Order: sequence, then structure tokens, then C-alpha cells
Amino acid sequence: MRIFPVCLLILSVHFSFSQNYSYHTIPEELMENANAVGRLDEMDIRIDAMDKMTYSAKQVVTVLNKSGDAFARTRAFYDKEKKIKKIEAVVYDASGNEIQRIKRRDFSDIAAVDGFSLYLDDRLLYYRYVPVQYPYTLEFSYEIETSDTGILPPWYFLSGYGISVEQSSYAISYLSNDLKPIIEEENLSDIVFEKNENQGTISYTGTNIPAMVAESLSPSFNAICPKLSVRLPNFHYKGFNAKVGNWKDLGLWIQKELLAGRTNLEDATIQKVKELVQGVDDDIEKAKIVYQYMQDNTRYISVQIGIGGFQPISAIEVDRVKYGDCKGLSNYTMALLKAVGVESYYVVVEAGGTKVDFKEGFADLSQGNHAIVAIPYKGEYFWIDCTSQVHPFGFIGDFTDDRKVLVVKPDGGEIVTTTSYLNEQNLKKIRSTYKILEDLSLEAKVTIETMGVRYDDHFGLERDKKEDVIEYYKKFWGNINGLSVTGYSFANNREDVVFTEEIQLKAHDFVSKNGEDYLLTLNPLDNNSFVPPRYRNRKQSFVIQRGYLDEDEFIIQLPQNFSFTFLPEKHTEETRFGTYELEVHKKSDTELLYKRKLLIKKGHYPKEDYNKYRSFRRNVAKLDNQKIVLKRRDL
Amino acid sequence: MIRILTILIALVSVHMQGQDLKFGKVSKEELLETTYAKDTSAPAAYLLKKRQSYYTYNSAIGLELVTEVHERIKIYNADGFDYATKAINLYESGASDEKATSIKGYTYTLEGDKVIETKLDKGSIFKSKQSKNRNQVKFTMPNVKAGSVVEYQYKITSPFVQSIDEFVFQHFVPIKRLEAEMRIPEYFKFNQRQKGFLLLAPKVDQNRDASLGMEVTKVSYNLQDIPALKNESFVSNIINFRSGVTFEIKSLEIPGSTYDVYSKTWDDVAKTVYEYSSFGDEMKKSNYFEEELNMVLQGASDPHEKAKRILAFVKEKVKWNSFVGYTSDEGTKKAYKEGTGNCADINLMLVSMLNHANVPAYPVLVSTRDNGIPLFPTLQGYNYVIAVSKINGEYHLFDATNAFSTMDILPTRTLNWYGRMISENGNSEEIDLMPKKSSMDAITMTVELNEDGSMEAKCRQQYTNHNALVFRNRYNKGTEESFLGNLEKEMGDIEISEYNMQNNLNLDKPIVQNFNFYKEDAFESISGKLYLSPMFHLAMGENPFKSEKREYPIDYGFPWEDKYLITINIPEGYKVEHLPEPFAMVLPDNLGQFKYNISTNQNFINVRVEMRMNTAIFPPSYYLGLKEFYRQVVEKESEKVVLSRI
Repeated sequence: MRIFPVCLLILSVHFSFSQNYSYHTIPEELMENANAVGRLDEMDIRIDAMDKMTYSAKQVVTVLNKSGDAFARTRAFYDKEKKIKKIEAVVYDASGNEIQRIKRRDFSDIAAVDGFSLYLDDRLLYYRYVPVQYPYTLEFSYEIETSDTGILPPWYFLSGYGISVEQSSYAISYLSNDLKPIIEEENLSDIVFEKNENQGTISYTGTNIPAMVAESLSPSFNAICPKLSVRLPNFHYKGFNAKVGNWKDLGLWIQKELLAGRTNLEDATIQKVKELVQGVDDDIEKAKIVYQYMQDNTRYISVQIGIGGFQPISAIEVDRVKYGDCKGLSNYTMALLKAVGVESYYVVVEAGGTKVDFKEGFADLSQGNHAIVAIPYKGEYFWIDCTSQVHPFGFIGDFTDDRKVLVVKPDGGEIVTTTSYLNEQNLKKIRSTYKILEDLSLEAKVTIETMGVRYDDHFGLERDKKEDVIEYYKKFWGNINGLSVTGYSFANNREDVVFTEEIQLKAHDFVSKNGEDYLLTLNPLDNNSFVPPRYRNRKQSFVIQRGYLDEDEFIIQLPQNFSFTFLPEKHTEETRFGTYELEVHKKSDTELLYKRKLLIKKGHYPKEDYNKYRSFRRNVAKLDNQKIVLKRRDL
Repeated sequence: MIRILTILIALVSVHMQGQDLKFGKVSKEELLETTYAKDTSAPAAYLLKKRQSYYTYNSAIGLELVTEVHERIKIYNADGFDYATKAINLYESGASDEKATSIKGYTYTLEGDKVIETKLDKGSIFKSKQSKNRNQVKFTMPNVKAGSVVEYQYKITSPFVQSIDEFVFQHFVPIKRLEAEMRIPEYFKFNQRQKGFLLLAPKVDQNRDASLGMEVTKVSYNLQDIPALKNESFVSNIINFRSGVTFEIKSLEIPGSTYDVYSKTWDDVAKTVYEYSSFGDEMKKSNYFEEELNMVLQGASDPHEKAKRILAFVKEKVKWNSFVGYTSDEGTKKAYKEGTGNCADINLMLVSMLNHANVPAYPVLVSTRDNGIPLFPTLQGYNYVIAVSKINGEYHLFDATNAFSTMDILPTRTLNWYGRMISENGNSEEIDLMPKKSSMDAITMTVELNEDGSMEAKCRQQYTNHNALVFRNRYNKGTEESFLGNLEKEMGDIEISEYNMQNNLNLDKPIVQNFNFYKEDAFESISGKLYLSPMFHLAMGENPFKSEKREYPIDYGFPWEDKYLITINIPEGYKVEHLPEPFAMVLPDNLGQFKYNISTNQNFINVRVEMRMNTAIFPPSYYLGLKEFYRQVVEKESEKVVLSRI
């Protein structure tokens, strides 16, 4: 280890007085739920040519407490095309007195890190300001000049939860009409703003925007925050020109400039895959073999240089090194498919657990963060993610499911929705016979079957180490104290996408003795205790993105010298969010059959329904935890 | 505590013979292997990890430190693919920089019966400037599949001859064979320090190095079958336990030149640190603060009172910029003027102010939790400094980097085994950093049960010492609304009203919070009887210890004590049918205890539960006992009171 000398150069301090940034002039309503207040957030963009854009920004943020520090940003990214012309920051105390001025030479020049790439060529200038008191105000201004007009910074009137804004201004000016931007307004009805459009300039100013509060199950911040998306129909990007009216055009451009000629392969490789599919006629059967071959032979490594952020490395290169990023591996798989005569398309998607759609009427390069492949077959698409070595063919899980994506076809781009996994499709079925022994311990054999996105949640177990698997079950059944797993086995049916777990487990003192009463929890194996948090005043609608179904059946065997008293009655609850069914049958004096079904339905529900949903989940949690009283017969 | 570590040293077989694993000579057996025999769950393994470090001299360039690395790694499955990527970090300072050269690599893969060799392409080696002082060379091997063997070698040339990177002997995957060699010329006197649980027996030879024209000491290690490092929860920093060796140059004796001591014994370390001008001198300066400090101290004569005022003054005056280090960055005077500084700026200033006020004080070198445990006397072992003062014959610790830290209640980062106190003449002495005072969390709660299964309660909660420090850090981070929102969620979705909190900024006093709350679904009603957990949401629901065994100490940070006093009003029309039995247990050597008492009269049920740990750290040998202890706590606390209708 070395000691890295750290230089905090603090330059000559000028004291001046600035009435504007005094903390005391912030309107009361902007302090509510705010860790920081944006006093002025200003962006001024000038487009001089298809390949010349300058933008200057000024952000003045009063930080009220430590959690607000994150809003006082002092960093700007740059790359080969993007130059930082000016960068500066000034710090003011609570009364608005200047206490520190940070010049360009005080900023550190560091490499950008995304946490997963082997190499990125993005860099940033960055300064780490140490607050000496709260509140303080930080004014950050910078100016950037770039030849890339393909991606324009979107404008957020609020930069996150917990910040309010006094004034947010966005202005864009353009030299000629062919450089006129297209602006899409989102969620602006929630704020007070003014829009002005003159010859050559469009501007927006929002004032006194209160802070938003993060709420459980709400749509993503991106989907609800007031913002502007901006694009140029005629743009330049990393050396390429484009004219884009719609997705068809953008798709054509991607096809022509970024993909064409990149699916060539060496003859030897073509021969090899042809041999692999020999005797197979059906396109999907061929594709499965090719996908398996790709999964067995490559791995994911990300390298992003220049246009490489959008253009795949060539199939020949991937074939040689046997690694690539999502673009490179998708393109490589397409090349292999082409070699065996199967048609496939390059697909750009916004991946992640939260579903984000491509905007149908707004074609630009900023959408999407991942590439997959679509294979057309008998009027539908099969989707494959080539960055996974383990997913079954055609199964994309909750990373790219059910969302609008850009399919790049030879005749242009098309917006298509990917496969969805909804409600009953996301099945978890638990079957068990469990015994209570005389010493009050539990002995159970459990079978868990999962499908849909539930498969995605479970099938990774197959590759885990034994100690991790056991620890997983201890957490999965954290409601059972003193649990031990005595054995397990898995079966992964990749063809039908079904994962089966067989587990044997034990837990001592499972039945609790309370005086003469012995309490038995009927459903220890699928105990769903999730209750969404309570809000005094819910502000946002709520979303159940996919929904799911639980189906459980347990046979419960009691020791001979025990008997049960009351059994719960059959319970069925139907709501617009889903249904819950519970039945307990007496099979004999010492044997019970427990059946449970919980269906949660996908939907986007108004905020007024939140409390109803919450009370449904409260009931489920209560009933899942239901106990019966056992008595000893021999006493 | 060092004693505990030594008991656990595992034996690793020492590699005695066997042929050289030459670069490029990968055998078919290595490629055919499908699992690592001694740890079948390993996703990859180092078949060879070899490093040689030595000095070269060239009249034009001067002395340079050269490190040659050769690694051969077997990839068993897709989870091991990360080991096919290598990052080499290089240091740069001014015009001098470390360079990585002669990078060469091949991947070997079996295809049918054929061994396919794929060369690492020069174009796939990326060099990037990470920051002003840090460069990185990074590459990933081509054509890697499950079963491949990757092999690469490179050389690092460094002008920083005193900085020898740690020899790392353990990774998260096993190492089949390890060869390490350090050659140090006679003019360098050095320390060699081992860490981790492996028993390492180096071979030491004296040779003549023809190119240097001097005697060199060669220290070499040959090890086999080093087990993978396992990550466990509740470990302060796993790197503390990773096996390895560090070499530190303690002095340079070049004939005819002056004798430089870097470090040797703890006293030498202390002396060296003391002589750094950014350490020792900083404590001697006092003119910049005298005037203001004298005003602050007006009327104070008791040393405790003085120390208290000085600590508050430094905290107010200078804020910590989150940088560690035991030497001053910009100087204490400048930090005082600017209002921010690193931990040495702040705490060395604190030391000189205390001394100025005739409260004898000294700096204490500390290794923070992130930095590891300093078992041996090295300069690099420490990265932080705090202050100690002897008041009425007793030592007390201070750290002014945190706004809520008080005497002997220091931020968690500093609670790491032992520190080293340095006095004027460079003498030094060990100081125990682990808190002895217990930190309390005391709750008094009165509960009303409602017909619909909900409860209402009045609650008074008190936090002392470290618990209060942790609370203050949390409470003062954001708005009170968000604090209460989190508190409501943590306590099982309760609804808090009439919240008030005392002593937030009165650091001498414990934190006291008073509030009422309402909670839904607080107890159960089954066929006319009420079943309730008398501790409600305060009951421990799950055992935090789940693993079957443990290799590293369990670290709570400080001794603690939870005391709950709960009064439950019995609802009208009900009587107590059953109460859980009172219960008590202790851990071996009285290191922890649990007491559960419950009683009733006509109208109330009184519950008193106390749990405490009397030590901050438990050696791993206590793990199973502790796990069982918690299991019984969970079980006891889940027991129910049964109320039935009269």
C-alpha cells in the first residue's frame, strides 16, 4: 500500500456578498421534504452546425443537510469529441457570503468507471467539496463544446427525490431551421412553467417546484419526473452523419453505418456451425443449437471506445477472442445464425428490472442500454440475450421482458414489444409433506417448482456452492428458527423453462408450547409477510410490474398423542389486485391438508387504491401466519 | 488478541521439490482437470502464482525495483471467468512512474484432443490514467472457456525503491503452487512481516549479485495448496485475514552516506513518525490558535472541563475532509484557517491545544478498520491518528473528526485493536482502542391492546455512548421526517406520534426519545383466546448467525447492553392463562448474558428483558456457542402470552 498524497489547493478567498443565495430567502414550501434546494438550474444550448454544439450550465444548489450533498454536483464528463471549455465552482455560506472559489486546476482529471467495463474512454473532471457547515450553497458552472449532436442532454426539472427547485431554465437555440430540435415534454402538467418559442430559440422556465418523495411501488423516478427529451432530426455522432425522422430511419442508419459488413466470419467457423446443425431443418431448432454453441464458447467483456459505444466489434474479432459486450455477442450470434441460413435482427433495448419502453414517436440514440437478438419465426419473434451463458433459449427473464424495443431490420427500424411474463405465468408451486415429531420438531420434504420470472429468481441455485445453497434456504425460510437443511437436489428443465428443487429440512422446537396450548403455524413454507409501507398521504400511483402466482399444498402429520381443536374456515378473497384462497381439511385425526393460492396481478393502479392493496396484503400476511392450537391427548 | 490469531494458524504444506513450471509449458493434465481436487467448489485456481522482486542499478537511471510476475490460472467454470482478467495498478508521482512491460499471455484450450493456443493481442491491453497518481494496465485473456488455462507474465519497473507491494499469498480461489522471492541488497535493512492464518516458513540465502556488485539477501517462499479465502459476515475487513508478506525498508546504509532509519521496532516507528516534520512539528505550533483558545478556556481549571472545551472547539473550528493519514496535509495552521483538514491536521491540532492548556496529550497512531490490523511495527500499518490524554492518571481517547464523538467514544472506524501512543522523545506505548464502556439501548414501553388486533404504546428510549454516537450520526444526516419515516419502517411499520428527542447536541447526556405509536396486527386471536408475543416488535425474529462454522472473529465494535421494560395492560374481560417461564443464560467466561423475566398482577403484565455482550470482539472459537445463544434468544422471545376470557 502506498500513501497517496492528497492536495487540497484552496485558492485565494474573496469575500463578496450575494443576496441571491442566502438560505433565508428560500420559500417555506420548498423546504418541505427537501434535503437540498435548487436555487437556479440553468442550461443554455447553442447548435451552430450539425457537428457543432455548445452548452453551458449553471447549477446553484443550497444543501440543507448531509443527505443533500449528492445534489451539489461538481463534475463534468468529456471524451474525444466533447471538450470542457470552462468549469468552475463557488461555495457560499448560509447567508450567501462567498467562502471558496474552485478553479479548473483544482478539479481532478480521472477515468470514468462504470463498474463492469474492462475499458472505457470516457473521462471526467471532478472536485470533491467538503462541507464545513450546513446549510451551504454551491454554484457550479461549466461549458462544453462537442461535435456530437446525436445525444442531447435531457432536461430534468427535478434531479431526484428530496430536492426542490426555485428556478429551472432550459434554452436551446439553433442557427438554421434544419437544426431545429424536436422536444418532447413529459409530466410538465405537474409543475408551473413558461414556454417561449421565438425564431431560432425555444426556452422553458419552471418555478417553485416542490420536492418529490420516494414511495414504495411507485413508477420509476424517470417515469414521473417532469422533464424534456430533446433530439435533432439531423445530427452528427462520432464521425457519422444522420437524418432521422422516425424509428424506421434510425434503424436504417444503424443498419447501414454501424452493422453492415460486421457479420462476416472465417470459412472454418462457418463450416463448423454448419456441421453442428446438419440434418436439422427447422429454423428454431437450428437457432437453439447455435445459441448453445455461442453460450458454451464466449463470455461477456465490455470495452467501450468511441463509436464502439454503439457499434459492435466485428464477428470475426469476437470469434477470435471469444468475448464481447452485448453488441458484439449479439452481432456474433447473428453472424452464426446467418451462416446456417436463419434470419435474425439486432435489437436495442433498455434493460433492467424496471420496464422502460422506447418512446414510439421519438426516435433518438439516447434510448436503450443493451442489445439482444430477435429471430422471426412463423409470424412471431423469439428473443435471445447473448450475454448470458446460462439462460434457456428464448427466455429473457425480467431483464428485457415486456417492453417496447427497437428491432433493426434490413428495411429499417421497428418498435416491437418483447415477450412478457405475467401473473399465472410466474408460478411458484410448493408441495410438501411435513411431520411434527413428538419432541415438537419439524421434519419436511419440500418440492418447489418455478416458472417465468420465478425461474429466473431460482435457477441460479444450481450453480451455487453447497454452503451458499444452505445459507440461501436459511434466509428463504428465515421465519423458521433453528432450521437445518439435510439434503437437496435440483432439476433444470431448460426446454420448458421449469426449475425444480427438492429439499429435506428439519427444525427443532417448531411447535411452541404456551401453557397447555401448543401453537402450530400451518404455513411455514410459503409465508408471505410482505406488506407495503404505510403512507399518511400517498402521492403517487403504484405499479405491480409482472404479478405472480403461488400454489401450495401441504400434508401435515401430527404425532399420535396430539390432536387439534379448531381449524380455520375456508377463506377466499378476491380483489382487483389479485386473489387469495386458503383451505384446511382434516384428513384424519392426525393429518391435515393445507391448500393455499395467492395471485397478484400486474397493473398500474391509482393512488386511491393503495390502501386497499395494502389491506389486502395485510390480510394475506396475517392468514399466512395463521396458527392452530394443538392439545396433548395423553394428558 | 494476538494470542487468538496464533492458535488458528493453519498448516500449509511446503513445496519441496518438483519441476519448474515454465512459461508456455502447460500440460494436458492441467487442461483435462474439471475440478480442483482439494476444493471442488472452486470456480478457478491458480496453478502457479510466481513473483520475484529485486533491485537493479544503472548509472543513468539509478536504483530501480523490478517485479516479475508469472501466473497460470485454471478456469473450471463460467463463475471463474473473472480470473481471466488482470488489472495492474501503477503509481505515478511527478516525473517518476512505475511501468508495466513485457506483458505476454496465452490461453490454452482443449478442443477434442488438440491443445489450442491463443495469444493475448497487444491491441487488447488497455492502459488508462485513473487519476493524477494512478495508472492502470488491464487486459482480459482471449478464447476463454470452461476448462481453459490462462497464463501471463509481466514486469513492473519502479523508481519508488522503498515501496514494495505486499506479496499476496491468498485469493478467493485456491492456489496450487506459489513461489515468491524478494532479493534485497545489503545496504537496505528491512523488516519482513507476515499476516493471515497460514504458517509461512521462508528460506533465506545470502548471494552475491553480480550486476549490482554487492551482497543480496534472498527471501523465498515455496508453498502448495493454499486454501481459498472465505468471506464471512460480521468480519470487520476480510483483507486483515488474507495471508501475505510485506517487506518494509527500515534503513538505508550506503557506505559514506548518512544513516537513515525508517522503521524497526515500535519505538523506531514512533521515532520515525515523530521526526516527520508534518507530524512532530505540527504539534509544536501553537501561536495561530493561542488567542482564540485562551478565550475558550477562560474560567476552566479542571482538566476534564478543559479537554471537553478544547474538543468542542476543534470540532467547531475544523471539519474533516474524509481523508485519512497520520501526517498533516497542508499544515494545522492552514487547516485552522480554512476550516477543513485531514485527520492528522485535526487531531494533531487537538494534541497541541491540549498541551497548551496543560493537559498532557499525545498522538496515537491507529489503523482504521478498512486498513487492517497492525500486528507488526511498520510505517504503512498505520493510516490514522487520534489523541490521548492522561487525566488524573488515566488515559482517555479523543477524535475531533466526528461532530458527535466525545471522550472515549470514538467513531467506529478507529475501533480496531491496538494503537500506538507516541511521546515527545519518540518513545511509544500500546493503547487498547476497543471500548470498555458498554453502550446501552434502554426502552421503557407501556402497551394497550385493541380489540382489532392493533396496539398503542408509549415508548421512551435511551441511548448511551457508542449507541448515542451512531444515533446522532443518523439523526442529523437528513430531515426529521425522513428519520422518522425510516424509524417507522424499521420498527415494523408503526405509526409514530408526539415524537420528541432530547440531548441531540448535548453530548454529555444520553439520547432520549419519547414517542407514542400505533401498530396494526400486533397480536393474534385464535378461537377466542389472545396470543401475544410480550416483546412485540422488539423480539429478535431471526438468528443473525446462519453459517455452520466460522473462521474469523465476530466483531461488534463495542460492548453493548439492551434493556427492555414492557408493561402490558390486560384488556378488560381477559385474564392471563399462560405466561412464558423466566429464563436466563450466560456465555462462557461471562462474555455475554441474557435475562428474561415476566410477571403479572391483576391488571398488568410486566416484562423485563436484558441482553448484553461484555466484549467488543469474540474469537471464532466462540462462534458455535454464540450461535446457540442467539437461537435460544430467538426461541424465548417468540414465546407467547395466552390471554383468555374471564
